[in-house]
Amino acid sequence: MSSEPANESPADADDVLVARAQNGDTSAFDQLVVNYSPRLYGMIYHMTSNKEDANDLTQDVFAKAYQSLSRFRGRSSFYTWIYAIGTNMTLNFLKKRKRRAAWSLDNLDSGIQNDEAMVDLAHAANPRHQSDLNELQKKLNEAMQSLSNDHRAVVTMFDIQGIPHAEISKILKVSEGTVRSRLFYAHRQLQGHLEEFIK
Amino acid sequence: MNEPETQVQKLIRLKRFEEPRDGYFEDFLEEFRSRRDEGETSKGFLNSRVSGGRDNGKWFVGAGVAYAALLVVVLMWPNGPEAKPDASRQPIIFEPKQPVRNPVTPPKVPISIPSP
Repeated sequence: MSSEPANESPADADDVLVARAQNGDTSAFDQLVVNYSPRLYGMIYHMTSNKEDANDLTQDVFAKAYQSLSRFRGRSSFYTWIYAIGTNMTLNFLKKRKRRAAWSLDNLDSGIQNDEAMVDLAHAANPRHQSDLNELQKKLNEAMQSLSNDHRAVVTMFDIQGIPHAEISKILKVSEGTVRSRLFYAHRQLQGHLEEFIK
Repeated sequence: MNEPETQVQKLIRLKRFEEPRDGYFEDFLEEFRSRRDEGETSKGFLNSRVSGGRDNGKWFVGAGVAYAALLVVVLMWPNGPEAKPDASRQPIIFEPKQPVRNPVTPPKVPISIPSP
């Protein structure tokens, strides 16, 4: 339970939690896990398209952050710092996974077939094409996996998670121009893969 | 941004509705806590899984090298008529020990070491 004032900004609240965690308060770090695991898991899941990998990687990201917390100096926000750890670990993992012969697009997960919000939004996004949701999700996953890891990272953070360009540039340590350029090319590539759902 | 890109973005945004089951993040926190309590945060879940596969690959490479080395030894084993008999393959004959009366010592040859 947090004892921070209600008008504190999320970043300030994070600073307090980080300081407490650095002093050995494990419950403070637990609160950071609670605050950030949904977003980090989401980012990693959309990068890997595999629930098991996403779960294990997200655990590893928090483990790494916990181990490295003493070195966190607050030059960036905790959010940017842990996202940078998550992105780097995910990109490294994807490089290793690419070398695994057994992995294929068949390993892609699906799990929103019956999500009402998904049904409504799919229809709103594409009213002329009553596509099967399974097929749409499969195509979305395949389209995402067709992107390079760097392009998938910006699409995941910007289009799916709504992180601003400036924040993505800090997380990936690239310029905002590079973020915009990657998004442009990624959208063009995705358009080719999803043409049947756009027309 | 032109129209087709907007449509692409709308489609991709649908992925934000892919969420894990209810209660997943509570279980996630419990899993993290138990790892921390057991001091296992320094060990990676995924790295062990991914590198586990790679270790298997190393095992196969090691086995292959060992097999190749064994093959070389077998092929090079002297078994032809011109092959020099190998002392290690001769039968071992045990003879009773007898005292040596006049042991033969090799003649001493002076060795000259050239000065550099």
